[in-house]
Amino acid sequence: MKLAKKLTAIALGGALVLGASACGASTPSGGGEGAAAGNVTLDWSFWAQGDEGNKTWKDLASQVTAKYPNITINLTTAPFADYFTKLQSQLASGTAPCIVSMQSLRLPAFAKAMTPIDGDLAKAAGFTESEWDGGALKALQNGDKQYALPYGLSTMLMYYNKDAFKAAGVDEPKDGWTTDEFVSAAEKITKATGKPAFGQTFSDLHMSAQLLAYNGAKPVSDSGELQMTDPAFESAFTWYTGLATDKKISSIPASSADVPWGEQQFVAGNVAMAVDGSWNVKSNVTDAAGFKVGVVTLPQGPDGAGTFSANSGFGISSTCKNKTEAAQAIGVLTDATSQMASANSGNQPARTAAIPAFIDGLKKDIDPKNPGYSEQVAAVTKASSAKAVPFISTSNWDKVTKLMAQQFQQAYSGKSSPQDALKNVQQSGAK
Amino acid sequence: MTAITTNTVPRRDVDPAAPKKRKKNDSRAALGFLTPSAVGMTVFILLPTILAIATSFFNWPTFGEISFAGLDNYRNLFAPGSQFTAALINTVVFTLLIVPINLVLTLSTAFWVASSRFSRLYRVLFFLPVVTPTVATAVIWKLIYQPNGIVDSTMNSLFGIHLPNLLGDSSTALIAVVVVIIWQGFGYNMLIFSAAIDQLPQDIIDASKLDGAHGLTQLLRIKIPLLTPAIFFATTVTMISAFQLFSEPFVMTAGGPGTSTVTVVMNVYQTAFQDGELGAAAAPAIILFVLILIVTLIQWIGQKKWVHYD
Repeated sequence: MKLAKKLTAIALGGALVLGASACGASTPSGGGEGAAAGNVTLDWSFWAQGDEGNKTWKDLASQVTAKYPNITINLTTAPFADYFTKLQSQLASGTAPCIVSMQSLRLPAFAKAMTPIDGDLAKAAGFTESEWDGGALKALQNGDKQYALPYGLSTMLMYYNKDAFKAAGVDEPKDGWTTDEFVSAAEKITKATGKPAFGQTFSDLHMSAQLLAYNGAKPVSDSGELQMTDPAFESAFTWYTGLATDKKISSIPASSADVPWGEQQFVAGNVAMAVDGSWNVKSNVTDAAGFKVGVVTLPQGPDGAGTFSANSGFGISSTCKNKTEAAQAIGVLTDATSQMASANSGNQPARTAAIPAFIDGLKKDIDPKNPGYSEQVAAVTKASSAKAVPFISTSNWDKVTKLMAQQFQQAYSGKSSPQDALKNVQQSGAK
Repeated sequence: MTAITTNTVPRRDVDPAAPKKRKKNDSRAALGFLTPSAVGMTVFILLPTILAIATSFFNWPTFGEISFAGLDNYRNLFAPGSQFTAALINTVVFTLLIVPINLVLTLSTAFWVASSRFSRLYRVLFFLPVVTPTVATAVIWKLIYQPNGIVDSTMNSLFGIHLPNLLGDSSTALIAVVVVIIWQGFGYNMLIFSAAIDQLPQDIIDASKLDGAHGLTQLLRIKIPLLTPAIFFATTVTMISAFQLFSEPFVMTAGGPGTSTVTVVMNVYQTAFQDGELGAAAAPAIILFVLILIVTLIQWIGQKKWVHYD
């Protein structure tokens, strides 16, 4: 009876998932296609990296074939906002790519559908722990098992519009500045330009990092429990919403659908400061709407605890049929040469040896238009990394982020109290 | 040749077995015609419906172990923290606003367009939003609505006033979305009504004039009753699509602020593909299915009283 029930369930599930993902990829099950003479084609999914980034990763995919002629990589990208929704449907329907790109925040939710890179797979990938930044590796572990090898390490930073600071007669901020100095600068710039100086956001890392910097508050406990109603988090969130509701120095998202508001408004030149990740250290300058960009550590409150780090890497889906080849491919995609190339295109590397290439790339490409930027980035990433703590998320983090956007809109606009917004997220988001 | 034909093919009316044979042949032909659509209905409608109903009784993560959940998925819809109740209320409010506003606007515009010299041009213009991708439309309207957007900037530069943040305020977000949905769907019903108005029997209109029916009397007593089949069709289709509302609020507000624009279909999508709980997502889908079925049945039964097919 139990078996019959299980079989029925599996049959029904298969049919449902097939229907649900009918518009998905048409790759064969497992994402790895075997062929004659041991040749395999491995699907690799990644979130879009912009034109330059996409080209870099495509070139690196061809390096895999150069090293292992029997492996061909088929890279597909999706916008970051849709990537994990798509991956979830693919994993559920058995059409997931072999190589999956994974962000540390999403790993708790996806670990069940991935294969740990240990034992023979670690050997196939040529993985040597000592070559890596310890924090970067740890963030992609779940239950002490390494589920992905990192390609980058990101910390959250404050980007600012140098021209706006100059026009308002405000000195540029320096690493280690305080929240009082931040508020004071924002007030002066808001007054001088007539536009809110800071851009608030619903993005999980961006907002949470600034709250951590304010008083050490974290949205999730170290054991992975949602703690939005924790007094420290409430206090920090009240300060954050007050930047818009009380001090009027902050631009708030136009709707709950505008999740990355502050960082987008910054690049568009509509706000003078916004929190963003070090993964955008290059693109924030190249995309900036005709102004010079500076970058500095997050302003710290009296009990501030630095910033959050998060990183991304490549892992193997549990349905992959060619796991050894996938591990070999990941080994190439994250080896020292690849990280140099990735670092050169603006990704803060997870391999310590590639850091000079990261700075040199900025010196060559950015400094001529934005003088002194590479030096500033070298200093700020060093200072931020020294004080960065990994962002721990819950296993239903996508649901929590959706709730944050819905409920925080009310708090940012003053339509509900910060406490009520946090209570609603906690009630619906706690597992 | 003729002789053979005459001898071998008896006259039908004298063959006692003919009606039976014809019946058998007709049955085969009917079976042949019906089978493709019956198979299609079974595979693409009946089977998925049964599977969705079955799924709603399981605890079914996108990956992980599946277990029987009984009625838990239905009970959880009304548990604290669930957005389903808000989604259901919003969906009903959306439907109650969209259907009457759409019908009144489209019917009156159709009468106006029918009497215009440029009726063909107007029909094309009004139909353009229908063929524009919904997501593109929703994104454009989002830009129009947002602070410092097109409308706000224009109002500010012309009159020095700022518009409120329509999509960021829970008291205006739903109405702002309704406006977009009506704008987008306007052309479809207008085209149906325009076609129906063009087909109004001229002899009846002329006869009503002879009987002294003009203007409003003619409109209410003659034309609108003659249009009731089209009105019934438009009402049913608009109501069903309003109950299934998803794209516009999803793109424009993602269900916020708070839960002010969450709809049932959005709740289904988010539960299935963002929260990764397929069984829990099937439960609200089934409730919506039953709700639409009941309302449509009521409309079908009720039509006998107000729809005139002759």
